[in-house]
Amino acid sequence: MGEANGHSKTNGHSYVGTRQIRPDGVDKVTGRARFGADYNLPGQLIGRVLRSPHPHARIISIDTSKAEALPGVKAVITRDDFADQPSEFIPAGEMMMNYKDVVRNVMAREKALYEGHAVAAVAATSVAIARRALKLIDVKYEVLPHVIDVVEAMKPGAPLLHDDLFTVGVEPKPEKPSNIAKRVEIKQGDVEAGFKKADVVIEREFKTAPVHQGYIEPHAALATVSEDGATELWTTTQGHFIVRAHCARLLGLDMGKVRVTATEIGGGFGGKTVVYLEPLAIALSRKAKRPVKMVMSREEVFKASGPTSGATVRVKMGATKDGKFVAAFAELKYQAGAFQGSPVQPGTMCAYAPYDIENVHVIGYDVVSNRPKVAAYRAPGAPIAEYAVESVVDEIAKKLGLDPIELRMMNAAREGTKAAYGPKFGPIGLEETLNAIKKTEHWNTPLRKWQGRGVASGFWFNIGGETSVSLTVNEDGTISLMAGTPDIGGLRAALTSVAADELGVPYDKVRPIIGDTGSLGFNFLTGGSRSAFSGSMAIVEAAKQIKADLCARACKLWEAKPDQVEFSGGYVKPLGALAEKVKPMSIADFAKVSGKTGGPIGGVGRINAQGAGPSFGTHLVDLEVDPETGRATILRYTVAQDAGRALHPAYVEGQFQGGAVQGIGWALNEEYIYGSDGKLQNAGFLDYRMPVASDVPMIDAILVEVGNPRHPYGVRGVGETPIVPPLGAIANAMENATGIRFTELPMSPPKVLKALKEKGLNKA
Amino acid sequence: MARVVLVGNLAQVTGGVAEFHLPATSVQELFRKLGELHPALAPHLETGVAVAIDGQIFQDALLEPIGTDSEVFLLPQIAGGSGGQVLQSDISRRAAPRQAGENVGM
Repeated sequence: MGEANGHSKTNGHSYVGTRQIRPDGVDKVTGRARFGADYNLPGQLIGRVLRSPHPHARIISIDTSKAEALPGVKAVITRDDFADQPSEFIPAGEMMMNYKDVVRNVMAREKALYEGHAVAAVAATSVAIARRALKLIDVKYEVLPHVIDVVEAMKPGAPLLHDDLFTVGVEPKPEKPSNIAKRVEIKQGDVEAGFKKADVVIEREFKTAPVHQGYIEPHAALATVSEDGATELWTTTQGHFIVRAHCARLLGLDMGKVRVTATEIGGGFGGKTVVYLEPLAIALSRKAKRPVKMVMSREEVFKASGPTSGATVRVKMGATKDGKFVAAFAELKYQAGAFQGSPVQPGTMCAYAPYDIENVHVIGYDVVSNRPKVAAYRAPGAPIAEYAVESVVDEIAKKLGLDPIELRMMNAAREGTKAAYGPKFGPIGLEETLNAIKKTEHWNTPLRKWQGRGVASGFWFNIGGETSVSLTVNEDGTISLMAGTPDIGGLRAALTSVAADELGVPYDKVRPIIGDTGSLGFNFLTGGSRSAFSGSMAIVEAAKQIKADLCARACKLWEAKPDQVEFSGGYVKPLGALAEKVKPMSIADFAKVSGKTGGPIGGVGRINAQGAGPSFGTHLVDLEVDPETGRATILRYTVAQDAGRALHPAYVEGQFQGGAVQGIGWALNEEYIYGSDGKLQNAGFLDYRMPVASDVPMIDAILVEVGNPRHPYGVRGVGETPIVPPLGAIANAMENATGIRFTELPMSPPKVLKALKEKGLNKA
Repeated sequence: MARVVLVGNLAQVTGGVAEFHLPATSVQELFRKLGELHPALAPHLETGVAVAIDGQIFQDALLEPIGTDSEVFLLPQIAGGSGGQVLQSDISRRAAPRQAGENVGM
């Protein structure tokens, strides 16, 4: 792991770069930690949602009178309980969104646009009564033709989801509506001229299936609204400040009256950056005047919460005979689900980001169809585009007889490379990850028949954003740390390490908590690989305030001038001649006299963190194909990624490993399967096959640390990049094992077996 | 003067002009000058772009300085932005909401 590979040095810090025990770990392994569904309030009601059985239907009428008359039913809500919203795009969560669509997604208005679309909700005194009430709601539908596939949805004459959706990004503006919400484009150089210089040109079309984020904890929310409108909400989310904003907007509430607490979260991966149950629970509670608890079933999670896009991608790349990439084209068609807003834009920007290519042209289409609206999923849009590109890169290496790592090295983006999406990169570590992989024993280990090895690289931008934290010195000198971004991947441990080092106190004397929306200033959500990056910058700011305050108090106590004191190692120390008169004072010493020296001691960090450094990674995978069943087994997997500086190496490695495992599922098994009736056929973990522990080997993680000069500790975000390379790496390993280039994901056993049979290869 | 490049679909709003040389000392000043040159660009600058200054990407950073010889790229928003901020400004109704048809696919 990281230390074995010579990384994770402490560089003079006591805790940053070491593997401290997670402050929230004990509660999580003993079951004491409280997740979304663990919260209850006295007198609470149970909320349940009525969902559309049709993939596409006009809602003629909704009669709730029988349900409302059922004893035990305290509230019923429908579209009539939500004011319509204007069409307005805002950046929210990890993708752009439009409130006109959000209000329709949380509760269908004119039409139900996918199977599972919420149509009504009830709050009752028991689950049984709530279920009975749902059956008493009479919804009259006019069933409409549906469309599921992205290519079918783009065709003229396809069933139209929105009659006011006109493709943007094309000239002249279309006169007729369509399912193509927008066309986006990234272009530099002259692609046609570039292809003329190429000695080898490879063009392929790829298809990927939509996959769910697969968080183990379903969506859950508990809301209570008092008579004066004061609203409290407990929910499992990646961003409780964002939830507050969305709910306030959708329900016409003042933000100051809405207090949202983020519960512990059992995974999100981007899928918990939007609202589903939260506005419904508040609306029901407001109507019933009692607390309302709502929890999704796994079937509801699959049918009604966002997966990521499925897509069709065409890639064309040209290279000279010595391996220099001279031109690259791609066309991306991404499913958005029922409402516009797929991650096709970042897909276009990421597709060729790992490479230094003079001539690049990428076109993307955002396409609606009768599926649940997509939500962000780790590096939204990038894995799909980079899977297709990395597959073609591998084919170029094979055609030119070049080592695939050497080919990537030859074309790798470096500091000063102009990215395909415009600006020049600062210090980046792609080359270092390629070198690290090439040096592994894994890369140099021979393979047997039916075994294959694949390599692929990947990129994600990373972001910063608005962040508030506080550090409070308690009366006994211990430190309370409050952050406002939910802790998904070890945030508390990382921030505690930084606070302990900045203040020179023991790690276990700093206790971190995640504050609610009433306790801190605005925090953007945990996403975009930002929370440890931004949070640690804010902690440094808060600690600076404490250190300055203590020095000022020392000057007053010692009747000294500012240049006669300094803060170091957890003490304010007298300098020069003053050192002979007074003794250094620790933070605990100041805590004892805080009242006599000016009052409570603390600092707040309120920043809009800029300077996020992009992260590149390279993955190496070995697999073995069973020619009798078509099943691929992952034998060995190594991840090398640039973390800038790993605040907590074990959790950085955990991010690498988790991304690799999710990518394995995406590549080999996971897919939404629809029947011809437009209904999802595998809305459960028995039929939607995600990797479990026994499916994967231990993922080896190599920490590459090319420091980010814009961060005080050199940190880069690490959470998203690890899911980008696996799809391409596994596809390349499959080709290496079978000689067949699979261009459709997932490469599930039936598809692999079919391909082997077609080539007459299905015998060991 | 800073070299300013519009990436992606933004140039559709400027009639295909994708590169400018402007004497701006901050992102705010740059946005103002671009908005004066191309009024249709202004609403997109308010909510829909990230700014890369000499290779470093900034989001929601109106006060970030721009050097005399800086190279500035205006990019689509990258996985982020501030829902809270937009909502607060929406409550104050700073401007007419952008309509779907006015979006250039950023």
